[in-house]
Amino acid sequence: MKRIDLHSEFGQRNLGNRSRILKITDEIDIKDEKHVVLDLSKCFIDYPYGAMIIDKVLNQLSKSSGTGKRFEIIYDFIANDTTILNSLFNGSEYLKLTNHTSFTVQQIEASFSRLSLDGISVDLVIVDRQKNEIKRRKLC
Amino acid sequence: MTSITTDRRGKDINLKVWPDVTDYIPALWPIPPLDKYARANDVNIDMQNVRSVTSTGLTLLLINVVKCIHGSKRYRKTHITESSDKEVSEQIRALGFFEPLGCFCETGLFWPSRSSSIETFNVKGRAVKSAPIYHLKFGNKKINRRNSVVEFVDWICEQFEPLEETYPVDAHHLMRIFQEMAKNSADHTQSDAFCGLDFYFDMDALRVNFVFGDLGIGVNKMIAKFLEDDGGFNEKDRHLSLSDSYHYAFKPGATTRPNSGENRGLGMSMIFDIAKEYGIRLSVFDANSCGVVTVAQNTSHSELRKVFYNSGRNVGFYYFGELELKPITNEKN
Repeated sequence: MKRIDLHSEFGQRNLGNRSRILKITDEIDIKDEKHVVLDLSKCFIDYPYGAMIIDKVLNQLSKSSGTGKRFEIIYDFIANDTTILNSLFNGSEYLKLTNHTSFTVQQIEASFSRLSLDGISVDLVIVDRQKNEIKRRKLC
Repeated sequence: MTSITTDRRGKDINLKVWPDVTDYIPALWPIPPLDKYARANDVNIDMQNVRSVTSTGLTLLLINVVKCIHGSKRYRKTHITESSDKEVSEQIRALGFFEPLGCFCETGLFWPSRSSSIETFNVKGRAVKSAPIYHLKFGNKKINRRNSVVEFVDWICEQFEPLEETYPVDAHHLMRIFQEMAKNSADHTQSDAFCGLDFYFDMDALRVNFVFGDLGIGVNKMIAKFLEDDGGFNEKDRHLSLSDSYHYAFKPGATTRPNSGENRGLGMSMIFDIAKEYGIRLSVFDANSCGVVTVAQNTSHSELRKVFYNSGRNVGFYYFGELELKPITNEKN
């Protein structure tokens, strides 16, 4: 399992712009991993840049061979589903959510259903300040 | 409190500010109509009788003064009479009130170098830590405007991070509110924005007041203008009241710049959601109206109609937020 903790590994909280995100996506290396945990807690990620990190992980996972590929996203942003899902996935090229508009929960879920064809299961885990799990949402 | 007069030929605008420049009271200050701004040559600010100031209060005053200067076609200079209370005068300097004004003044104004750290003052017997007024200098280039937002968000984070150990506050959640406000200003207005931040350390809790405002026309007029140009919109919906336009603005996916590639219509809904989640008492002042939007149960027309009221005169556009945080206790239940 590969765990990527953006706050502790990259030392910056504000990842709300393109250049900071590009630097991170260059450094992430998850080749041949089957289980990736992306910890976004204590980070501030803005759309559409957050989706660039997600895309990087999904792309690499889809290239690794075998079955049982798993991707967990840990996030501590408590808001309604539309806001959370859009702030994470809006702008994702992999999920084809690039219409330059916001998406409904159903549209985002429909995009994930396509992912199951690549053999990847995705879980979104919402945690509190102490990183205790509050809610787990299976996206595909 | 302040009073503003213009002489008959419209040469000067005189602002007499007294005695307290704190909180959102300046929102209720009488602000002259725009045609009076347009005739102003000089702006004279008399702060002689000011007895207490905070960052939020000064920010609101600053927004109004800068708006006044911006609106003037004949503007020449600003004169300021400092407070006769030396301590207050020093506070005003330390909070960087003069520096943004310097950007707009040709002659006749002094301005000291801006303090970069938070200063602790005594306001009416309460210890207040006031951050210097943050001036978002957007500039004309789109990339610079967005970079200003990123720098501003970093600054906000620096202000709140030290509080995280003692109070139940997540700096990065609050950053999102400020970021969305700043992004809206950067993307939808041509002018700069300002932010003021005060921390009141009371015995039982920390109270945070903040104000964020720009010199734009506000959400209501912006949306009304956008919908008027949108041929697909029904005739009946073009007559937008404030609650109608805020209902539109708070709806996820509603944006006045659908083809920008960056605006996805989530900002205002995020501002509302996070403010509700955190128990922030968030007020919006927009032209002739104001209201505590977080009192609304949801963002429906009927709920928003309950919270907005007419302020009687144009107060510009800004947000005013109040947040109360009880210290974290280690007691186990």
